Amino acid sequence: MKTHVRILFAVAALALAVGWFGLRRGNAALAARLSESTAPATRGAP
Amino acid sequence: MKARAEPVVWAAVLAVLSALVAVEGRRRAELERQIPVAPQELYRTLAHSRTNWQIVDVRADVAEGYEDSHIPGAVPLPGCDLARAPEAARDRIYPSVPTVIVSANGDAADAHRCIARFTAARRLAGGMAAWVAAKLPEDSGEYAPPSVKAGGGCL
Repeated sequence: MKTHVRILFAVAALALAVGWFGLRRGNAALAARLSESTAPATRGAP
Repeated sequence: MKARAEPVVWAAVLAVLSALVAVEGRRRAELERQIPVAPQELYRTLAHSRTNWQIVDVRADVAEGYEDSHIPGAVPLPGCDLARAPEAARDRIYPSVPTVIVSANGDAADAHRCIARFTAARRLAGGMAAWVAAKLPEDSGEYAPPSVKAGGGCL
């Protein structure tokens, strides 16, 4: 397999991996926001 | 690694990563469906974004709801029932366009029944009542499809 083809595969894999991590982080933040907005408003209650 | 096996391994790696991205993407869409959009956030999005958002007003009473006051550019879909929508609005509701569902008070149960009709949809937090309370632009009157002339439909 030629080196430039190998580099092409590696770049594609890296881009996908970065995209996946980005999506995971974004989803975690969204899930936290969602659980905050749906949690019962008991914080600060006497 | 054998020369023949290497492309197969790379293809497998790319396939696995693509599948992971697809799974997370689907999860993102699902999460976004559940998070309501605040009136100010919707206003900012409509005013600045180039994304073509569709606003669907699902309040059951068109005369007392939509015709009395609605978000500019909103399309009426009373009770989320296409048969009850004004004729002019029926072919203006696109299931695949990013959508914001507007109910009277932002009731989650009402909105979620309708959200399932669209590929990507969120509900307006607090519904039309919150939009009015936030003193954001309103329109009134019967639904009229957007004119082809320039200058219409801006917030």
